[in-house]
Amino acid sequence: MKTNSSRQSPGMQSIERLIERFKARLRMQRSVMGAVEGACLGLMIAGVGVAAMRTGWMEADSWWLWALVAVAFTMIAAALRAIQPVDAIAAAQIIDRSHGLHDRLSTAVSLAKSDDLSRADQEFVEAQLRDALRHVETIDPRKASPWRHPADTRLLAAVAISVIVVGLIPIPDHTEELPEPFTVQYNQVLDDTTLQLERDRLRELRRRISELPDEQAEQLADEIEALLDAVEAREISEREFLEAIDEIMERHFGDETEQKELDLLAEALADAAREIREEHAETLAEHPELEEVMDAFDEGDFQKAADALSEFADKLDSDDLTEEQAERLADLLEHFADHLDGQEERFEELFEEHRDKFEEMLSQMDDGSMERNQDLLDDARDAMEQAAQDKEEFSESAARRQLEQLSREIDETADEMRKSQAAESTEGAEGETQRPDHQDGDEGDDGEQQDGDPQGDPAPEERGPDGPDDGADDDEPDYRNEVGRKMDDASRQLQEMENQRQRSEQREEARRQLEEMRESMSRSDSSEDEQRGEQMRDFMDRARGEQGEEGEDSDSEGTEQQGASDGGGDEPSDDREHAEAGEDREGSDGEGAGHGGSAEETGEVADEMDAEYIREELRGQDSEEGRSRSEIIRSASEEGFATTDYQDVYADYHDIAEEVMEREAVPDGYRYYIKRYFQLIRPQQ
Amino acid sequence: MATSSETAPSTEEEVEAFKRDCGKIREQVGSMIVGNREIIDGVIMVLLASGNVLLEGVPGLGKTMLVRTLSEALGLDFSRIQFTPDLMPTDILGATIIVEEEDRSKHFRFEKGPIFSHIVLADEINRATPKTQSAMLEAMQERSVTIGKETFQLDPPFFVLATQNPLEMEGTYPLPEAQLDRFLFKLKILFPKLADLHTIMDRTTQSDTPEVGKAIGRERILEMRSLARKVPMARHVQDYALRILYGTHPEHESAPEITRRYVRFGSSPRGAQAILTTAKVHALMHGRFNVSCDDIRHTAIPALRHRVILNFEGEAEGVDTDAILEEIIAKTPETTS
Repeated sequence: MKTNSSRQSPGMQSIERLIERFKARLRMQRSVMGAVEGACLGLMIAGVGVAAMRTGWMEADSWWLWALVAVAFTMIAAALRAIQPVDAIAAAQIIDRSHGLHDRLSTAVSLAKSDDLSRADQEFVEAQLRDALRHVETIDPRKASPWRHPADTRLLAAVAISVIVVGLIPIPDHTEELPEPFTVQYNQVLDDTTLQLERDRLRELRRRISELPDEQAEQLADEIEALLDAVEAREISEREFLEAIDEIMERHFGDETEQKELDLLAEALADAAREIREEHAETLAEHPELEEVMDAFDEGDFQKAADALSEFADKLDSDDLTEEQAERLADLLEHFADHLDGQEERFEELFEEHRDKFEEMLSQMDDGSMERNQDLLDDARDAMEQAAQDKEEFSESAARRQLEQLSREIDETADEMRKSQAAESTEGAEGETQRPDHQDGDEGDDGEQQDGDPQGDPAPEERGPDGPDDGADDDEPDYRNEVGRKMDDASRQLQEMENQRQRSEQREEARRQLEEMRESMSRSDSSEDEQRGEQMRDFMDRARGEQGEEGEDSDSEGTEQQGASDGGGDEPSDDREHAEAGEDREGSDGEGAGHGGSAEETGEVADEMDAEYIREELRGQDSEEGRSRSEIIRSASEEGFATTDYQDVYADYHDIAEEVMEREAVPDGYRYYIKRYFQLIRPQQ
Repeated sequence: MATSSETAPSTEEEVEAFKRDCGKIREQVGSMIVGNREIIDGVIMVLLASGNVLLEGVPGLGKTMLVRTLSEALGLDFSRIQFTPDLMPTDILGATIIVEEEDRSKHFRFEKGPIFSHIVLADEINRATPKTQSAMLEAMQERSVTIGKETFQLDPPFFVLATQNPLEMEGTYPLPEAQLDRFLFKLKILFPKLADLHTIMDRTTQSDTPEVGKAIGRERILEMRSLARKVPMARHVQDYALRILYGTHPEHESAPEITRRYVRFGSSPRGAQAILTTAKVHALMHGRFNVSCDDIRHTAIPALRHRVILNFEGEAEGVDTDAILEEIIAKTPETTS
């Protein structure tokens, strides 16, 4: 065995150089192919990244990351393919095949690596090497490995185009494709006509508010307008509409103290005016302006009273009064002031009267003869408690303070008038005999002050001593002016009371509008379901007819229901006066009264009608007979109507009951009740 | 020593002479045998690779003429044995007979049979009984004949050409696989093409019959055999041949699907030996100093077609072994790297 010496021969080296050149070319081509493959992969990943950027999944400024990924994949793949080892024999085989050398080069390379050759073999190997060398010169590596476009070139182009498309073509913004935000649009709570009417009413209310500013009324108008806007935009459901109305009314009308106070005030002034009219008819005849004042008090028209009082003050300034007239006028005003002060006494007397009656009833109760009048006793107790409450409220109310203020001003007017008369007398007779009158007046003032409000103005006492001095020092016009000023003060006080009442009326107007809006919604509801509405009307008519047949024995609940239906109100009111008023209007002009019997609340309708009525409270009585027929019919109209004959319903339920009794262990005692029950409710036929 | 080295031909000259002599043989045989160039080359390759060849073809295609012409071109002894069912081994090998001398003395003398020739044509070998076939095939393998206690060497170059008729298989004794394996090649003689057939008609129907001249002598054949064995074989080429061989084994991982489906047994290592030895001859015949993968592909089919045993499915569907081998070759890459 000999070592193959051909390995070191120059011929072999030339073959090896040829093969190395070919391998380098092969590596380069593989590197290019690897770069294309890596670029494909990198561009695919970059495409995903670009798509993520375009769709907002990634930051837009991260484009360089994806470019780096594409380049990195290209470089890495190219490098990996370039460093991939190439077998020399395989390379030689490629050359052999490409040049038709029948494995001459590959055999030469293979034999050169073999160390186990005999001499004869060695000779033949050398001959074979020489044969291979003869063909080396003809070998062109480019022919062996011609340049070919990488197989993935098309794929690379497709991927690149895809990435460009993804990167450049505007992707439809999915946010634009989203459907319009879901907006809840309710059925219009109020129809367009009603809405327009309510807006007109609101404009009128605002006009009145602009004439007599009232912050609460303005706020109320704003809230009503916002509610109407919401209704028009269909942003509010019926339930929300009702809740909003309730909330507004609760917020603005929860406390009715002011209205009550105004009513008390008007009532007190009216009572005082009536008594003055009876006591000083002669004096009032002399002064029609003052009689007009009393009429205005009697009517509860503060504005009219204020105007008349102002006119009267002007007249006092201009006209001369005789001493007697002035004295009578001063007496009249003083009496009027005393009547106003006596309002608290009137409450006290009323309370005492109720208490006496209550005690009397208690004594009768002790006898055991009036056991059945327990209800009357309860009513008396309630009335007394109510009187006590009214007394309490009146003593703490602003109405009382206003009344006291008015009383004081009228009283001071009377004093000033006497002072003025005394001054005139002094000028005429130079006597000081008039001073006792003034002293009396002062004493009267003192007396009045003692009877007045403990918190009252001490000015009369302070002015009492000073008054004569001032009266002695001043001339006649000064006294008259002082009387006029006092009258003007009283007039302003009345004007203020009138403004307060007008403001209250504005708010009340807003309240009526709210109630009517709620009522309008109910009417529109009923008109939507015509069939049901028709049935409702039919049954309501029948209920009304049945009510008439029931006649006078109907309790207050029935009357209240009827009044509500006539007035259009859909909620039973606890206010019995309200129901009573509705009953009255039913007899007069029917639908014309409208809207829940507000006549007594405003007082306007009742006055216009000039109706006389007796206030009396009626209470319903619990009956053992169950619901009335009208109630049954009304509930049926609200809950639905039977579509199955009663015979069928009875048969079904009776069968079911029988089946259950046969199947289940029902005690005998209960079996009896069940059978008895079905026996009682069986159809008459 | 120096003189002999100076006169010794170089390897290149030897290869060139080999190629030239092969051309001479082909030329002389071709003067008589029309067409069938591949058959002639195959027979020459097997002859120079020291093997035996099995010819398969229908009667009348010139099998006997081919063998006779080859013997004349090589200047070798030729004998023809027509195998029949009643043919006995002694009819092939020879027999010991009693010979009476002039002095009237008698003694036993071995009378050589027809197998003692350089070229033996075993015509329709599948018609003889297995016993006779076995005696023939033993002589082919051992290159010797043992009669009694005496062994007779067959004079090289000993070359057997056996023929089979694929049509008349009734009453025949097909050669078992072990016996087939002893043939280096199995060549299929196809029906001549129209042009070749015209030439055959012209040559055989005229008064002048062509004469076959001697191309090379016996010694030259032995030299050529010796040179053929010197051709070096690169490892990757030999690996290619072995991978083809593995492709014929259905249980091997590299076997293609057609092998797994239709082949029951693959070729024995003798198949690879046949491929490589004949490939060397093929390379020399083309004046090359190395065996290429092309040589392997050229010799693989005739060397393996009788060594691949089809399974029942292959037999039932009439699958041709050559088709299986062609697919194996097509599916086997020249290099694994």
